[in-house]
Amino acid sequence: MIGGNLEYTMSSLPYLEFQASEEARRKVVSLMRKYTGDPEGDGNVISIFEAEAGKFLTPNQQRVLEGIDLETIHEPGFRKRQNRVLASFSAYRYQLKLALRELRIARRSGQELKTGAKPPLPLSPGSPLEEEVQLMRWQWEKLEELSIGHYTDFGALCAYKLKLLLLHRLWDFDTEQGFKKFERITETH
Amino acid sequence: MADKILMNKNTLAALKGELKEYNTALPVFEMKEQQLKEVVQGIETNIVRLQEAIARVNAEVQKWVAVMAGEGPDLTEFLRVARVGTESREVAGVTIEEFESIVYEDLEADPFETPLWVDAALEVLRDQQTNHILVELEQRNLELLREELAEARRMKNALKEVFIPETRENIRKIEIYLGDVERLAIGCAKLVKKKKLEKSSTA
Repeated sequence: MIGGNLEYTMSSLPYLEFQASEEARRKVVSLMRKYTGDPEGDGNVISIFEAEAGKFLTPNQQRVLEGIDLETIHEPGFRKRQNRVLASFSAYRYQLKLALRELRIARRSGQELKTGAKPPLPLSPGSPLEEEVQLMRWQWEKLEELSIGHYTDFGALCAYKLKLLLLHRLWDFDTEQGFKKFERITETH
Repeated sequence: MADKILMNKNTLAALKGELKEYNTALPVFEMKEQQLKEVVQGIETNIVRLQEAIARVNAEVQKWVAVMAGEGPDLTEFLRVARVGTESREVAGVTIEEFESIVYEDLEADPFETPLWVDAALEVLRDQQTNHILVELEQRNLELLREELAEARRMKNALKEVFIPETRENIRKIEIYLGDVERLAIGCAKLVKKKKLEKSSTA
């Protein structure tokens, strides 16, 4: 169990790196599980983090932390938050989504190739996986940038959770599982 | 054909009629077999080609399909087929369906709400789904054509190996028999004539 205060919690959390390797994943997962006192347990790292951090938060902060989700972070509710990390990242995600919408509309109409105009995003064209990882890396870098000056406050916790969510998604990328889904979709109609 | 045949001129005439019909039908079945064989081969080649295309796509997607793992948007709703357009074509008496087009329900992934990879994935998924639909269509056609081909082959072989040779043999037998009967009748007539002449000369 993590003891002490928020400073202690933050400093005892595993260091996060934007790495998809199994080793990096195992390191973070095993450390997180050690905190629960059940290293062999199958608890989700995000739930463990929320539970441990929650011990040092007010009910309102706990609710905000638990409500952070990559799927909804761009919504106005987050953009209007007083927490600078959360509000700035929310705005960044919103702008990113807007630019992606523009890019996708241009791609669908074939304009991206035709006009040669400046693309809405400096995305290096690649496979869907490569592009997705690029976008996640940008978000990671943004979080790193926003984390400067926030080491032991609620903003740091929010940035940590967002990074954890990004990593969770990155670690979810699995060729075998993905292909199973691909086959299931193409073979049923 | 194993039944006992009547050794008379009527049977002979009937058998000759049948033989004529068999000889007319045989090339029809041979031609039908040939035609079906060609179409079956064409469809088999097409299925192999489609299966190769499916395997190629499956190999190609390995590079990025990991992105589809885990939680994500339900892509099946963008892949609902509204209509598969086909045109009926008759091949040697069999009606098969030829692929013309595939129309998906007009649903596009929301470019704001769904992740970027969805667009590329949907394009590949649609192509691959079309390949699978085509394989199924061609397999159904193949099944129908193979059934008809087997029937045409059975008929051709039955005519060639059984009906025509047996009818020919029966005709030969009746002709021999009728020839024998005729010769016997001539012999008898000659004998009767000779006896009559002998009788009249002694009288």
